[in-house]
Amino acid sequence: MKYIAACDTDIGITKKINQDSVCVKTAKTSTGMAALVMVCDGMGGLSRGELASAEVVRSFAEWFDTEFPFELPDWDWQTAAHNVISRLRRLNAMLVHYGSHNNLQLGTTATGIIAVNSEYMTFHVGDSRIYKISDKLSQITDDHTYVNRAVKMGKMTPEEALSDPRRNALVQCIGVTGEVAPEIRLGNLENDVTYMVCSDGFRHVLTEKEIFDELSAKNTSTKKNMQSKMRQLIETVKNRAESDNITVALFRAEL
Amino acid sequence: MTTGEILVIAASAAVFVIINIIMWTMISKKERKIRERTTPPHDINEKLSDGVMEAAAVEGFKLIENTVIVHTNERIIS
Repeated sequence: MKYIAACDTDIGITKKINQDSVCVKTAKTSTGMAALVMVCDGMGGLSRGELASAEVVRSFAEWFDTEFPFELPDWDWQTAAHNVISRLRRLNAMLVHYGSHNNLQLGTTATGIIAVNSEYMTFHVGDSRIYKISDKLSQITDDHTYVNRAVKMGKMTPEEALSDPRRNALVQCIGVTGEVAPEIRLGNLENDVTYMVCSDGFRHVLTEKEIFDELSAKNTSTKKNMQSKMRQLIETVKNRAESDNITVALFRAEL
Repeated sequence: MTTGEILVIAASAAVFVIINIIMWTMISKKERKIRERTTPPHDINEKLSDGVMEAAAVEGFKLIENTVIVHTNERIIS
C-alpha cells in the first residue's frame, strides 16, 4: 500500500497576506499507512484570519505527530470522530475567547481527511470543499453557507444562489460562533481515486470539467505530477482574476 | 482680513498639521508592528522535539510526507 499526497498554496493577485493554511502528512505505521490532509481558509473579511487558520492546522499537525502514533494500536473510527469533533470545538472556543479578549475577530474553515490503511474520515466546517475524483468529480462535503442552506430548504434556486450577494456568508466556521457542528463522514479508499481538498479561492473560477480533466488519477500518478497540475490550475485561477487566496491539496491511495 | 485673524488661521493650520503628523505616525507604527508579527510568507515547518519523534518511532511510526504551511509566526497556544 502506498499513499501519494501533495499541496500548494498561493497568495493570489489581490490580497496582501495569504490567510490560508495547509497540511499534508503521510506516515508508515506498524500496521500500514496513515495520512492527514487538511486545508483551512482564514476568513477574508475578518482580521487575523491567518492566525486562526494556522492555529487549527498546527493543532491537527501536532496531534498527528505526537498523539496519533499512540492511538493507532487501538484505532477506532467512532472514537476518532468524537475526538476530532472535540478538538474542533476546543479550537473554536479558544479562538472565540482570544478574539473577545483582544478585540479581534478571527475565523477559519477547517476541512480535511484522516486516512488509516484503506479507510478514511472527512471532517468539515465552512465552505472549503473535498472532492472525490474517480470516473467523475463529486463533492463529498456540504458548503456551510447561507445560500446552500436556503437552496436545501427550497427558499432559493441553485441559479439564484450563484449570484446572491450573501453567497460567501457562512453559517458556521471555527472562531466566530459559540457552537460548531462539524460534518464527519467515514469511507473506504479506492484505487485510482484522488481526493482533493481546496479553499473556495481555488474552485470559484474553475469548472468541474477542468478540475476533473486535470486532476484525474491518470494525471496525478506521482507527487511530481500532482504538484505540476496543481500549480498549472493555480496559475489559471490567477489569470482569471480570482481575488482570494488559493489553496489545494491532493491525496491518493494505491492499495 | 486683520493681522490677528491671519495669525489665528495660521495657528489653527499649524495645530491641524501637527495633529495629523502625530496621528499618522501612530497609525504607521501600529501597522508596522502588525506587519512584523504576521508577514513571513514562507513555509513554516515546525520541528518536534527529538524525544517525541523517537517515542513515535518506537511505535513503528515514520513520517514520509511532512508539509505544514502557515503564514504567521504568532501563536495563541504556546
